[in-house]
Amino acid sequence: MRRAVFLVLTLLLAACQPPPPVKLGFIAGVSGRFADLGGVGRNGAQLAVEMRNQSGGINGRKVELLVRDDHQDADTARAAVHQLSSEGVIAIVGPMTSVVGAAIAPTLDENGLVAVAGTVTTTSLTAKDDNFFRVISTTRIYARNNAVESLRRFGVKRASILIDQANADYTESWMQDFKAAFEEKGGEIVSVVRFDSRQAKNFQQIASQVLAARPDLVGLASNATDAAMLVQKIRQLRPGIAITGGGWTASERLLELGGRAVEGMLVEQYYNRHDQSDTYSQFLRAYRQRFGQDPGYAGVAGFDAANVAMEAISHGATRETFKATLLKLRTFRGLQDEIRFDDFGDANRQLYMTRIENGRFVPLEYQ
Amino acid sequence: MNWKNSLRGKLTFLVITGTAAPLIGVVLLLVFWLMPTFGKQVSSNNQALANALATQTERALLPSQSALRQIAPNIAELQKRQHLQVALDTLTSSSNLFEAVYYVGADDRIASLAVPPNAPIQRHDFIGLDLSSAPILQRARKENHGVWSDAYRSPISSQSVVSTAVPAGDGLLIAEISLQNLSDFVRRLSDTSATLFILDRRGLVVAHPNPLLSAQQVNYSNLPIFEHGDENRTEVFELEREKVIGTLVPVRDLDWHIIVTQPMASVQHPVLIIAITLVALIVLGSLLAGWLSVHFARRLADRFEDLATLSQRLAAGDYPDQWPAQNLIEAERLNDSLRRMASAIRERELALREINLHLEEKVAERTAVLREAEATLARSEKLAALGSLVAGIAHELNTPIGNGLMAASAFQEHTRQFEKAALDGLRRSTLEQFVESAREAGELIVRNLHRAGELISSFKQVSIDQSTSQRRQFELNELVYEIVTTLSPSIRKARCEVDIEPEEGITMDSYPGPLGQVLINLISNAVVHGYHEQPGKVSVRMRKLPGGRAELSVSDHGHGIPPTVLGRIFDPFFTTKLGQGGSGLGLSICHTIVNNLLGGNILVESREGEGATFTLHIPLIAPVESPENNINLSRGETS
Repeated sequence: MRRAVFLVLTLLLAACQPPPPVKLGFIAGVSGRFADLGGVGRNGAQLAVEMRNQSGGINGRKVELLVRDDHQDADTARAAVHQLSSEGVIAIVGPMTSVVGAAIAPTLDENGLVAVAGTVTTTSLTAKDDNFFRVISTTRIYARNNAVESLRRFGVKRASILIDQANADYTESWMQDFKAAFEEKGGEIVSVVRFDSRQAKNFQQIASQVLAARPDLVGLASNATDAAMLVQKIRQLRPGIAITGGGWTASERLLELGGRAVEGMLVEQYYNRHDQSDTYSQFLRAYRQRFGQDPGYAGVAGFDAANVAMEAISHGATRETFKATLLKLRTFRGLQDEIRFDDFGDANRQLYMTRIENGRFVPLEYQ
Repeated sequence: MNWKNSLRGKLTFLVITGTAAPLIGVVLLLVFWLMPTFGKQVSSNNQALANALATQTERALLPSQSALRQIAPNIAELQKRQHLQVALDTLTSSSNLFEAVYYVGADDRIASLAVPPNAPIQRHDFIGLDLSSAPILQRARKENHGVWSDAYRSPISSQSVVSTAVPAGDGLLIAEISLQNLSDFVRRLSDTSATLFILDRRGLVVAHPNPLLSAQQVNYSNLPIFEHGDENRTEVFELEREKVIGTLVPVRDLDWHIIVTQPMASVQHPVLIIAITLVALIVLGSLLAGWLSVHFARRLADRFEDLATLSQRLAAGDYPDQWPAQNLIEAERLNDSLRRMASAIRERELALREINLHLEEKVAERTAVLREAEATLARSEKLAALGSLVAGIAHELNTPIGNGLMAASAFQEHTRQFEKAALDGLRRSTLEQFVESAREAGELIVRNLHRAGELISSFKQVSIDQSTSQRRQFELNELVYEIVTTLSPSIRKARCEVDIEPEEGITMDSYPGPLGQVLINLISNAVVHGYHEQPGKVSVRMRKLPGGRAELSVSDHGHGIPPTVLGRIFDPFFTTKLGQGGSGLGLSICHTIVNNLLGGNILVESREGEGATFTLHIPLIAPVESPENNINLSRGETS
């Protein structure tokens, strides 16, 4: 009976309409090979929106996240921007990959839409007065520090770099910055091997190719799944060889699929995985409860990006004034630390280097 | 007209409430019966679909684990004979279920791997792959029996898969099963109204009719339907910005869930159509009923108005010949009653009129009798006054006549003595003495007889006046003196005295008899009622007024008249001396005489204990006598 009454009431209530929601776009590769970036980033943004809505939304209006899959494809991504624009979103959260970021930047300007990107670290978008904002730093910080740290920790001089062409905007940028810093500090890049994760791969062959120049260190910039496979292959061929991974590799999938092969590998982290603060613990708990897994850097970045966008809207930002509002507010509270935009919409965040020990990322400073 | 109390208002109100009741009933019926029934039906439909899908899902997935179980016991044998690869290849190619089947050795590395024949996979890439950290492996090792993974993206096939792991010797047999098949089931079972989807343990969408959604690994763990445990249940919630009614059914072996949803719109639509139809019909019906009732009420009100006008005409005594025809039994009955009432009134009116006619005659008859009695009384009153006059006059006459007689008898005696003396010799002195006494006697006799004559003539005048009521000219003070003179014996007897303040030259052309009667009445009243026969003074004043009128007043200083009586003293037959000789007509007659005959008026002023004053204002020349003015007196005279 109670159920019947409940059913009736909800049937009746269904006729009532709440105030129109605030529309927020989201673009990322939420399916396919890069889903551990895009999908998890979507989850982070989704959680931010859900938490916001649970505490009353923005000025009494619910926030609606319109998710579009860019399939890691420039044209699809641009079409998605146009579509979101015509659907009346105030701003876009994402993308999560540099290749899409680079592809949509002009489209954003064209549509007068601002994107607050999650994990786009390419330097190709740095210092440009465009509609592209991002909540993390660029490879200039991450890759350079990674190179310096690898030199110091492993004490090796010869490095090969293996990068995925599928996200060339990021990987090339990463490679350039890594190379520059590595060479600055007296190291030598003996080879750069490129592969394309979108095509059928022969991991064995790629690994052999990397090791052909007899490096002492392999710098790897690819998605985590491929990274895990490649590291396994490389270490099958050259057990114990020093490996360092770019931020893109730093997801939970690397640990799950890397097995014992990834032990001792250095990995860049865009956030502090060992944060003990209440805010982060709460977020972690909420994320695990909601999605049954850990957020990883993509989840954190998605969460931060969505919160920045919603914060700006709550300060009255409309689609037209969104960029001005971001630049006026300038500083936002991130999950772990402050997010401060420069005049070009780039944020300077800290790098957290980790080493994989016993199947976990362990911060270097604690060793 | 007060709308609320009018017939039309009342009827309209009744119709509205009468039609509102079924309307409310219908709404309640819809809300509490139809919608729950519908909801239940949707719920049971959803449940059936979900159960079917759960069965399908289990049927699709569970055999793969069974297949692994069949191989598992023989794993050592197969490995020893180098037949494992063949066995896995056979399994993979025998069914399109598997994306990959592999054996993980004790070292957690892939030892054997079989993939579908046309898969674009370099098998050697994966041989030796360390899966020690893979969640499925860790769980299978821990639980040491067949387990199912969550959905994940296979590093081998790059497809969305679910894998099952079965312990086999020291290692594990693992099969990856494409979720594509499940998506196909789901697509086939979902139709336009119902959407089915499968969620894994974490709430991740494993299969969805929309392939994009299953590819995007959307997580629905936050759907409200999960909040109340996972038994079979149906709820209304929001999904992808659409209100849906959804049913949750668990897939026990996998710890997965099936959700079947239907858009609320599709559920509400039929109910809405029924509701709108019913409400529209009722509203139409009530509009029609309202219109009819207003129309009917107006006609009824007109009919009532007609009847009201008719009854007003009846009230005014206008009896219509033609009665309006009524087509309603009740109105006809009312009409009939009115008609009967009208004729009854008419009959009664005629009877009353007849009685009235008769009554006038009777009143005239009685009045005549009363008048006669009144006249008789007045006449006796007059006779009584006359009587007292006669007594007074006789008394007055007694003195002069007695004196004359005494003088005559004294002279007789003197004559006899003179005769005797003359016989003895007449002396001069005796003669002179006799002459002196004769002269004195003559003088006395003459004077007294003169006086008697005067009295008689005045008596004659009074009696003529009193008995004839003739009109003549007279002097008012003379009349007053005459009356007072005639009354003086009774006044003296009562030890009262009358003080006259005369005024000369009030000549009147009027009726001295009736005026005298009034005066007699007023003076006797003063003596009898004012002083109760005790000594007292009665004043009679007269005065000539401008405008040919005279004022005559009679006042005493006796007991006065009580205010309760003062207003009634001029009423006929009013007396305070009933049974003591008062007729109660005295003042009434005075009033009639003064007002009617003399054309004046009579006023009384009195304060109890201080006496009373009766004042007459009368014209010097009385009005010409009219027969009605003088009913009393003319009758009195003629009888």
